[in-house]
Amino acid sequence: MSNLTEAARAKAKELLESGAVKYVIGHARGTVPYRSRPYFASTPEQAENLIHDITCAPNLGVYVNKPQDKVAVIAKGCDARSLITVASEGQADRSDVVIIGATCEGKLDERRLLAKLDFGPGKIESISEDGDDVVVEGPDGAVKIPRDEVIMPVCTFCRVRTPAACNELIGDEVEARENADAYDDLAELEAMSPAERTKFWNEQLGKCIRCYACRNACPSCFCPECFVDEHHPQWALHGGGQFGGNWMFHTGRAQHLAGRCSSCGSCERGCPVNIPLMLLNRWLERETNENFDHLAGMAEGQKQLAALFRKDESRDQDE
Amino acid sequence: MERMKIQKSRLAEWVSKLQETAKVYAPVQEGDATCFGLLPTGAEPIPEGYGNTDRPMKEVLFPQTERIVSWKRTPDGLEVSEVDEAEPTVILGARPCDVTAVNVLDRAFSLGGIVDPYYTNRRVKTTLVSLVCPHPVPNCFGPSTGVNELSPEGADVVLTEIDDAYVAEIKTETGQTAVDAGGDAFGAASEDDISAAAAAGETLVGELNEQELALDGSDVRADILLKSDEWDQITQRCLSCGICAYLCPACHCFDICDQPAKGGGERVRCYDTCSSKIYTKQAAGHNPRPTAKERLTQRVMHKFSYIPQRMDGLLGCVGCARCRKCPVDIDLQVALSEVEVEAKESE
Repeated sequence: MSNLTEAARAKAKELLESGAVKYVIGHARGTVPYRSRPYFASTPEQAENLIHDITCAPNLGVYVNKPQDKVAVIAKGCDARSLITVASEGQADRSDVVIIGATCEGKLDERRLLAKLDFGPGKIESISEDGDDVVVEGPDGAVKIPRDEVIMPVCTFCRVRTPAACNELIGDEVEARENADAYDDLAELEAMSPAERTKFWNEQLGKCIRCYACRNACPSCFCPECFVDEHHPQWALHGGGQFGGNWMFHTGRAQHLAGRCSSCGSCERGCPVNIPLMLLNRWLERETNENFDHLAGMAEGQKQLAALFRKDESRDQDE
Repeated sequence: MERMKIQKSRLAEWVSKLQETAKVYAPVQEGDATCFGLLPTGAEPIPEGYGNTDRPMKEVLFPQTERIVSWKRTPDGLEVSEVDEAEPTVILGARPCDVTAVNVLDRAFSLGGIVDPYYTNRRVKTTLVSLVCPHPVPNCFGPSTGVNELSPEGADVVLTEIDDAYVAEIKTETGQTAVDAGGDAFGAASEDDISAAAAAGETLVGELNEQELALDGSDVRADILLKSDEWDQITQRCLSCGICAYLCPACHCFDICDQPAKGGGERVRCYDTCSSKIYTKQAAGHNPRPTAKERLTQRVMHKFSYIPQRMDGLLGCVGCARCRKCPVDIDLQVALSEVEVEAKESE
């Protein structure tokens, strides 16, 4: 059992026993060893089911939307950023949410992991970490893979491996990645001509099946009625690529997230047809970061980007 | 019926013969996801290492979006264009689960004698050539849902892989026509070929049994689910997205939208899902299924109770396990087992 799991259980137990919170939102082991699942512990006994390891990828901020009771969340750095963001936007009273920050060295990307193995997913017996490697126990013993090759791409330039703001911290502090501000991941897209870029996104967005997993997995997408679900007017027709609504949906959603995205990668992770959505979000993050020095949810009490105005702020980027 | 045999090396030849009179759909790579797509002339019909496609075969018969009517204003009045005539189509390489799901679609699109013209136009001109899995895809639980993995109901031809050839079981006249189109690419299968195919089937069934989990649809009851703490835990984490429904080969709900455009417009049908919170939202604002719990209960009840009741025992699930793409690990089959265990423990 990893020390994060032990710490998460202990902290959850303490909060539930004292009655400080109604329930603790964390992760439990999933149906297979390489998956976890969001878990809601409401008794000290249930706290024993909590785990915290490399498989705990989903952003739990999505479950904190106008909570009726006090809750605690076992939050990675990105989850914590999301929680602070949604609290600043009036979706939760910050004092109703205990953020148990958990340090993180990146979460597993199932697709990347399975592509590295020469045996089927059914043969994976366990996943653990050893230094900078991920250890997969398979049919022929342990296989070691460098961690950066199997974690979600967005984790490889994480700026909050130790949560930037939280009520309590579990785990040993980890330095932010040095490449966090480099935006190397955007270089390829940036090198494309506008025509090439249009072609690229036409192909990517053409795959979209409009399941809205990206939107529903995102803590910042909390609108009771999303613009694409509106019937009058219909902003983005339902359905796939051939009728053009996909561009409206994805570009509209990305712009709504500018300055509000915590770079957790949950949208991209949830996508069943592998659309590289983080390219859109990271692009907009760079815009807000470089032009307005704003990154969502990096400090308690932080204001939203749209509510910020500084006297020295440039009104025209070309000036 | 007589068994035929075709060498793998001659499959492309058969396909090009079929392509003379029909559109041929087969597993293709679209970006980094696989689906059933129009096979380009001369392409290899069955990719090496093909397990099952990421997106279901139902897309060929019931596309995610389809224009059902369009209109244009002209000086002479409104010009309305109706449904396009469907072209003869062959679907090659569909796995038995996807083929079995077509039985559900066939029934759903003609329930109560009301025939859906868009689906049916395509369906009646379609030949289904199924391909038996050499090994189970991960997490397949087809047999638990009643799928005949060796000779699925609804297939016109069933191919079973033996070394460098396929043994073909011809199940219908449509299938016979498709095989006849191959000319001398097909030959009679020998006794040895037939027993090799049977042995491959036995191996598969043996491996499938190892993956089988207990699942008895008749036990799925809304009252048990709604009272279950385990079901609470499961539905509480549901994100209410549409992955499970859109990737399900048997789900068939749709919505119809009108899209006006300058000088005309079009009416489009597209997938819809009972997981979505606006699926049951009424015009006045009331929603009879306000949370993921009611919605997921409906989804499970529909698949394992209402469909079997209305369709003579057919299940609305074929065990393909595509719904395991769920980003929060809701695995329908495991979930039901968990609820079942809890129900037994509390007895």
